[in-house]
Amino acid sequence: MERLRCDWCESTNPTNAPSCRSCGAPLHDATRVTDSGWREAPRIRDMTEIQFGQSALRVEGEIVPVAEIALVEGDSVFFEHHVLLWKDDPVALSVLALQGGMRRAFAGMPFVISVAHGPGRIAFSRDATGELVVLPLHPGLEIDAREHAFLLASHHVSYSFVRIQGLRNILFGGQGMFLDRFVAPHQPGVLMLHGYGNVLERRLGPGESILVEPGAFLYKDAAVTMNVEQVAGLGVGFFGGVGMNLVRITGPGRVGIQSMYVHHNTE
Amino acid sequence: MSAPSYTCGFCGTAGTGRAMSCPACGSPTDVEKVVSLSGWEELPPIPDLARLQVGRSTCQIEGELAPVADFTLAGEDSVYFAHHVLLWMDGEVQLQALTLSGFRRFLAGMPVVMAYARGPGRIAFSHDEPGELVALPLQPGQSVDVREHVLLAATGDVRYEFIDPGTYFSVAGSERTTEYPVGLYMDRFTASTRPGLVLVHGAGNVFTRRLGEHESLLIHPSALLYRDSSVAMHLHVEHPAGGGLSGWSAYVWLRVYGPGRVGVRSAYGPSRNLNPTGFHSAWTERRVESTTAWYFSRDGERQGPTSLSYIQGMALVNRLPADTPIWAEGLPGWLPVNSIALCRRCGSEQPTMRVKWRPLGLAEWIWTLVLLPICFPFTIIGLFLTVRRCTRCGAIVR
Repeated sequence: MERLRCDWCESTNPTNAPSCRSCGAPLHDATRVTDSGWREAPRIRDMTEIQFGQSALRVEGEIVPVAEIALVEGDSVFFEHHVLLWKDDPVALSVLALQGGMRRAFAGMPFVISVAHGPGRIAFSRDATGELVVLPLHPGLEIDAREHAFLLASHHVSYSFVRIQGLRNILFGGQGMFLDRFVAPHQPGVLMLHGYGNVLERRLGPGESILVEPGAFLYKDAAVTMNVEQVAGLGVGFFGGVGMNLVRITGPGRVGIQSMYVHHNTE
Repeated sequence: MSAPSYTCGFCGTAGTGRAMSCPACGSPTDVEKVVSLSGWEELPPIPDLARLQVGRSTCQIEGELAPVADFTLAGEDSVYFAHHVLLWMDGEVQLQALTLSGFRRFLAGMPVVMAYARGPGRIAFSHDEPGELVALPLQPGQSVDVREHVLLAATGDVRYEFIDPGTYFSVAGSERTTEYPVGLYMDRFTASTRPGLVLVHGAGNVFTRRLGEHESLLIHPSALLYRDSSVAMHLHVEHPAGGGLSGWSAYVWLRVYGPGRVGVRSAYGPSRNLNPTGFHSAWTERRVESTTAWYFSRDGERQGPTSLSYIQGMALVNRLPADTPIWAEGLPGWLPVNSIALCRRCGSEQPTMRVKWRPLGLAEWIWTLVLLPICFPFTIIGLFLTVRRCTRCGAIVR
């Protein structure tokens, strides 16, 4: 049987499907690539349905999109408590126990990740204009995401966090002290991120690097490295309060950025 | 066969029309101009991945929620920008600071430093607000004034300076503050000998209006995004009937006068109810319910009917002489515009006259007798001052 391969997440779909069942990308629109090699995250159309384990997820709205999921018995999703929009009464909530959570509590992060168990409906949104990015995770794939950017992940995905190395990277990197790390250890899972504004992704070759505004970073493959650099040539003597820090992101792997960045004063 | 000619409906640049979007401003070529019933032109959204040509460099617009302007700079071409809009860049691009002589601007919290990026290489900018990108191509000598903090990038040839928009008022409150509804400064961009490009980011949707020679419009001061430098403006205050009872007494508007383009944005932050008091930039005032029809004389011809504040405003921005003769029903004859003012006591626009100050009426006599012993010398000085009084009720008019 003829199958269609999704440009964005590379999973296969029936030819008559309007959008990819794994990531929601419209299947009949080619992925848009800019002259400089960035792929635009697919604009998930209103009411697109995505397969989420055994459950079905629907993306609603296009300006501040909502992810509404109908959980079946036995499926669960986890999320940070502040993205919960509404839920059916029968959906049970619990808390994911995390190792080393106290360290994050000291760093000002909520270390409580909530888990919603089916059956029932539950919906999530983040209160900002932006795009939902669906990243299906194959076993063995590791993704690092900016903290607070993840909307939800299926229970097949394991969640941990990595501490950013280097004082300079912590102070000027704009990411705080931790990155969220998502791995699908045994079975494929789905991770859903929310990016402010538009989301663009680029695949960097080994050793290839670009400089990115720290607040624009959204996600990366675990193999990609990030190091903060001060841009030379911007000091102007007495009023020279503008020391601009950019992150040098080096491949190999994918990196995703958001166009409406979280701007941190780097003075 | 000659190339088909096409003139962009938004920026007026002539092209072949073969591309999907205008190479100068990015407006799509295959859509009709969208004009609202009231005459506002909806800015055609720049299609995703449209390319703009600037000299030998190109700029690609990416995304539609918070669009990115991605420049591919040819060798020696350059762009400048406020450092906080930089999204990403190649390692090849050279950055340096463009120092502005602006200590006042530094005090006002504006960036004193514009960063200057020189090609060859790629550099991309975006603003951290949902909205639209507006490309303003400038022909040599053309200039445009842009609200502060909305510049995304401008090409290196475009001259940059900042101007005083002349719009401010003080607000009473627990402590007196001064409001600058159009910003403390406006950025002025002028193309020198070569065409240039200015990219601005408008929050929400952006609408433009092309005003004719004597056309005028009231807009929300915070909504103004850009204007052609030929457009004049001043503040205008309208007092609604009974507004004082609610503790709020005035709408503050920005009045703009053509000829030229005006751009407004639809998202401009929360508005507060502000009661202007005390000092302010030159403005015109009107009571909202006032419907008096006024006529004025321009170049010996009778014009009108219109509102008094329009004629006063035209005089304020030097589009009419300060003593333009005007007339309305009930006036004995044509009077100079600067002799008519809003009388608070009559609640309408009345002719005034300049007279030496003398106490008039019971209230002024009581105040004078009370103040005389307290500030004796000042009351005497008052006898030499000139005030404007309403010719109908005698009240002192500002």
